[in-house]
Amino acid sequence: MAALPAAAPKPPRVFARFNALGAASLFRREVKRVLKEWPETVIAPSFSSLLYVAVFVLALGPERGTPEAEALIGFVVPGLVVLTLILRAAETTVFTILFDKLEGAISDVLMPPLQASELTIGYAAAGVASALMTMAPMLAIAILALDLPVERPVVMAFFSVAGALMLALAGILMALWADKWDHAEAAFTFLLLPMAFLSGVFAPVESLPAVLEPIGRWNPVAAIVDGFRTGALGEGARPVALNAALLIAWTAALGALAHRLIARGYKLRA
Amino acid sequence: MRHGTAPRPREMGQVNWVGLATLYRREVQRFVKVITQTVAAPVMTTLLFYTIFALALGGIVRRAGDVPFLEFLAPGLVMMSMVQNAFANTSSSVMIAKIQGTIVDVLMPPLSPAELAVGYVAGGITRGLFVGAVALAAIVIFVPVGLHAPFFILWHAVAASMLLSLIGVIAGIWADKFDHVAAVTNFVVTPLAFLSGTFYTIDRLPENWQFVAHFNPLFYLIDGFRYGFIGQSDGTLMLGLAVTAGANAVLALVVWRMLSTGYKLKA
Repeated sequence: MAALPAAAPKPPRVFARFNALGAASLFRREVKRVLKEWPETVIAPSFSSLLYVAVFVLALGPERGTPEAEALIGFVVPGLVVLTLILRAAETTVFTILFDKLEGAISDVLMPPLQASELTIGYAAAGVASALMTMAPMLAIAILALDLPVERPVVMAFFSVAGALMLALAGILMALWADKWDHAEAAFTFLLLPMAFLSGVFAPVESLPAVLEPIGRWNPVAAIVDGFRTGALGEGARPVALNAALLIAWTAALGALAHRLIARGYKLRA
Repeated sequence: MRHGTAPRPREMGQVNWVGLATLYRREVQRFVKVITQTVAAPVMTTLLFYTIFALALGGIVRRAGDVPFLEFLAPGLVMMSMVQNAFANTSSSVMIAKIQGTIVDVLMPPLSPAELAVGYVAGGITRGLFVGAVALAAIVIFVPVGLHAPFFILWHAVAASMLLSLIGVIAGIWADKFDHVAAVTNFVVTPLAFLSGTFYTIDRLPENWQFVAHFNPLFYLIDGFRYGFIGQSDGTLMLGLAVTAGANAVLALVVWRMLSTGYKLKA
């Protein structure tokens, strides 16, 4: 009886400098995770933002229609659209990374042949995609029903994507640093939320009390809000180039830090 | 050699006071343990809301009725923080226990449905009042708030925390997963709280909406609570007292019934 020819051993997979397949798989998994919970991740944030709009419109009551009130609504609507994006971008990466870390499932992404750069890019890209998906319904409603103009679409698109990227990276950092849910919640409530709320989402930064004004003006979220509003209304409080430069600088810094920490295995590997 | 007598079963009166007090203590300790998340965070959020709404609307809406807008806004926001936290306390407690299987810890001991209901709800009321008091104290630092009718403040603070604690127990029992409670929070509790006159007097609403608003129990709660501070009310105060008492009684009955039948709690 002739021996069966032995199957030739499979050669190990050859990777290029960048494991694109791995990064894409991570990205796909993260996006699916978000979409699985779509009522919470896509619908609820738009719903909350619409509630804010409703409150503003109703609170204005008889003053509605006056130029002052129109200006306020015109100012608040783009702020609220970008707010949904800002909060959701950070939430996406914080939630998935911290959840996996606490459940011990983080080894699922640490074991495969993924380098720090691929992990950072996979997670951050999923955060951006998730934030854009969440912002989409609110943006559509704002344009169709609330007369939101889009004067400079390219500017709006740039600040949406770059802003989401910066916050997705910030979310990665929060998740790495946090040892438990409390920590992440604290970072959210005491750091991100004040930054977002005081950054000119609802009222011009100049109207803040003097103590809070520098925070509102110079924190990185303010650049996103003002840049996005420039894209919608055609002009903002600051030049687009300044906002873009600030945002790019912050994004690069946070990206480098996230990459460095993941490479070191900070709070990820024993 | 003397033998110890065998322990006799514990005597309980009509009410298992020890059991009730223990459940209540646990419910309170549950939120005190994570006080940053359960008290400091909502107070922070309330202050942020206050700042932004005061800044954004304060310039245009200077007065609400006869009082300055800032004074009008404060009690409404305090009430909002109370109802959201009372709801969060009971709903999370019941749901997490159910999902993690630790609900047997309260179903096994000799606690009657009424005792369970009271223990949970008292825990929720405590959290609501606690958060409300801290939020109020924080706001008073920035804006002086008057004191007109303390009875109305106390009544509506307790009635509101109780109402939302009861709704929280119902939601916690009904929910099969975390998402369900999150959905109730996002799509029921928050809109009810936002749209019930926290930010505006009701006469600012279009007429049909004014009519609808009167079916929202939270409208009476916020209105009556605010009356206690500013002495100005949108609704009928006596009707408000009746509605809040009635709504609480009905929901208490629902909760008691759910706990007696073991709906979604006992197989």
